[in-house]
Amino acid sequence: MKKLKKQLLIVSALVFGVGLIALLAWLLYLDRIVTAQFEGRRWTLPAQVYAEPMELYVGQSFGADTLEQELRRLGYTRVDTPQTPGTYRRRNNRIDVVTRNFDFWDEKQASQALSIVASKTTIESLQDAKGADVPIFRFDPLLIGSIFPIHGEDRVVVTPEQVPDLLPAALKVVEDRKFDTHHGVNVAAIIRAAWVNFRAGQIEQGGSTLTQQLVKSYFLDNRRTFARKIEEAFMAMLLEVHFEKQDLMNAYINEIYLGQDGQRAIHGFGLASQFYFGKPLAELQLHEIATLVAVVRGPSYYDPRRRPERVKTRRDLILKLMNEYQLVDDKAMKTALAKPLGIVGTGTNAGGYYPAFLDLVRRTLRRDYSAEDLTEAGLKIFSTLNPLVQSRAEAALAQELTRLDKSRKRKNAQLEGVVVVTAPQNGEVIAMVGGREAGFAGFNRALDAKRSIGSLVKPVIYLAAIESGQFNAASIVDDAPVEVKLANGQIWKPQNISKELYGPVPLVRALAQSLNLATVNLGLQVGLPKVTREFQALGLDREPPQLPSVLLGALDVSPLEVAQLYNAFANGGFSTPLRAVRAVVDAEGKPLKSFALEVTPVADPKAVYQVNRMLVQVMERGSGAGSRAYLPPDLVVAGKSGTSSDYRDSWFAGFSGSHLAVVWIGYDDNAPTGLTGSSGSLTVWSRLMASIGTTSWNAPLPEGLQEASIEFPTGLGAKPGCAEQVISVAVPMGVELPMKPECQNGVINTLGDWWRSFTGER
Amino acid sequence: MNIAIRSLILSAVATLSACTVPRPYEPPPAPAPAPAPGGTPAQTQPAPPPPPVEEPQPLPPPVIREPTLGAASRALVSQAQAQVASKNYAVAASSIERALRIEPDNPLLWIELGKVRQAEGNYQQAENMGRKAASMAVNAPRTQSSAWTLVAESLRARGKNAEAREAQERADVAQ
Repeated sequence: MKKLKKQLLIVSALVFGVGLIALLAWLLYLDRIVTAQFEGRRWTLPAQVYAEPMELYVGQSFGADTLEQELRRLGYTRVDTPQTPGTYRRRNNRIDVVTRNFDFWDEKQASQALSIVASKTTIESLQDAKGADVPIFRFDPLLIGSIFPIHGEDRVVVTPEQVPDLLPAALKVVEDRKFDTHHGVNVAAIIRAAWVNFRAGQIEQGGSTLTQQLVKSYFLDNRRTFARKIEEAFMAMLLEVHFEKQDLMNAYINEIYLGQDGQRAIHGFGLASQFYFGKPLAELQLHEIATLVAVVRGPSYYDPRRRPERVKTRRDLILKLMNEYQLVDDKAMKTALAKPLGIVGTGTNAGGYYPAFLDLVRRTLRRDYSAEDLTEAGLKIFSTLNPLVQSRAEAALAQELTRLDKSRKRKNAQLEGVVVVTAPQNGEVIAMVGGREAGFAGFNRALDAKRSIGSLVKPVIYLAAIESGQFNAASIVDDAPVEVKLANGQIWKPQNISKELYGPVPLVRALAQSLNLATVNLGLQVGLPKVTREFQALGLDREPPQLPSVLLGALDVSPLEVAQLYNAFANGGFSTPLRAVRAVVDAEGKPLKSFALEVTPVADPKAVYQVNRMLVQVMERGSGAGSRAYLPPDLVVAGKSGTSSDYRDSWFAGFSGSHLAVVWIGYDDNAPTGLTGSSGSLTVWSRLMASIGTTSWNAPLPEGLQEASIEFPTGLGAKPGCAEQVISVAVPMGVELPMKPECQNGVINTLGDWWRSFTGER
Repeated sequence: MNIAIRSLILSAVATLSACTVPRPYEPPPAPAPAPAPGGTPAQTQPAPPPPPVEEPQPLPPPVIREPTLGAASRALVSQAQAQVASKNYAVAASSIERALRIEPDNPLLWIELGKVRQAEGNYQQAENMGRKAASMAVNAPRTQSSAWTLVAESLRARGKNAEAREAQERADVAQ
């Protein structure tokens, strides 16, 4: 008996001993996890992507209203006396602003006070606090998104200095009043919460300390089992043993989950501040801090965009609590209570998030950086996106697609569209819309949708023709039937869209009216190899097959590639690789890489100029004439429409002096749309160009060319008074044109003068 | 003849630079008075008899307009020149690119960017920038000349002496 008892004692001691050892081992194991992870402080830091910064200088075409809008977009707050960074005051035409400091890749920009005077349309003066003129000032750029990993965790990490004092104070009052003294768990709070929840029959109160919440978010998944709770409690206590309260609070502020934007999980108060208020955490006001603290409790239940009432109620409760615990006085509380939530537009609109463009950024950087670098290393990426142009492009496309869909017979499918906008002289992609829904998943039409471009090929053919030296804008080409025997023995017999024949026409008319037969005849005369090589010279990454059908655009090209091709025209025969990124710096601000502007001469500038002048005629009296209804009357633009066979794709590509835009409209399943380039995409293109304050195309007439007045239908030399439809074209010096008989007496250059005065050309 | 044109250019430049208010990139002015009446050269002969080929260029030279830099560009260019002096080429190029966003059509800025590339030893891009500037500097002989000088120097640096001589000739002719 005694022996048995003794044995039992030994066994239980053994069991206890083993259990104790196991527990100790487990604790050691937890301890290692906790310290290793936490000491490394390795939050994965998604690369942050910035828009093009706003540059301010005297003469900049910003009115006071536009300037104020832009400041608001950047999250600057209007105040009575601007003293802290991120605030401004407006008095009529005068705006006083205290800018934020910002580390650009090439320069550190310190915060400074600026006084700006602007007329309705222009910046008239720009001075610093001492009244000295500032020649140019660059504002901190808008954060437009980040490159987050597949699991979607996105964050902007802040240091304790960037956290307003009220935030940790409010967190303690609301979530964990004993934070400063407990050892990781608060037993009294757990019991109280259990009691409240037991009486209510549901979970109403959480008893978790901030440390426990941190552990849960940091190390564990969301399962709420008892074992997890125990593990969590132990880990919290271990954390408290090793780390200071201040470190834990800072970790909490950077770690906690505060919202969802599609696939993107918003973590940390730094990003939440940008996501909900469009400005840095340090600049948040009392009512905004209280709002974020309200969200902590449950970001989907307390979603400020979808449940504003609910969030406001909780925010007000928190404000009162903060007052009760003497964090803020009565006056501050009352002011804050009176304020609306003040949330900026949703993730897909203003305050935005641009998936198509960010996709281009990601693909650009994939050549130089691994996925881990981009999603974890805290890189800062300076992109070329212009948020204003981007939002205008989105609006122009959405408006037209909605209108077109209503008039389509197809009810089960929606038309899709793409807009790409570049600055032609430096090749920067300043806007990109990849579809009607800004929040797309995976397929980026602007880059991946390679569709037949139809007549968009024509300028390339005409350029090859003029470069060959055999043709000029007034040369005659026959719009007559043509048959080509293909390699497979079939006969290719193209037609004009109108099914009519136009006979001998000048090049300028054939291009402006997009005559298929004239173009095929021209291309065959020039020779297919010359034409296909021209595509590659202008920037297409592959030479098209040497097939006659290429002359009519049987060539699958993405909208971005079209932009690259047309950019060479807009840039006067120089190619510059399209860029979405200017520079990349690492987490410490050290420049890693810059994508410098490069130009390469790819075509004779004189030939390109002649084609560009023909493309102006496309807009004046050809397939682009519909744009005149939208554009300012004196704006000179050049462009070309494109329609693929059976009206499957509607294209328009064209440029002004400062912008190039390519628009595509079609169905994803390649079904016919019934739209031509002029009836679909041209409207989007014109609305966009009209809304972004673009400047006229006014390249100077190159030396070696002269103006010539011709009759548009026949190409005969003419002048107003003796002929109808007289236009001015550029032809090589010394070219003598056959005159229209009625105009035999004296040619000529009056129209050239008209053109020059029109474009303000030197 | 050459001297006459030259002094004409110089005086035109002088008056221009004297009275030009630095102007940023802006839309073209409203229809300006047509160019000098001499703009239509002696072409009033009847069309049928073809005019003598290789007739010398129109006698009254075209109106000369050398480009100037706006205030913002001036500040950025001098900043860039200081950055080049301290061999900070990437940053210098970035400063010129800022100016180019304001005045993309100003050949002077393309020349400046080419000079940054030249200083850094990227002669291919220096040459290309020079060619770009030359294509834009119409009726601006002084600018035309500096553009071709840049091209010539860049070609010479790459040992392309024959092409360099050709470019240098164009620089001299323009001047």
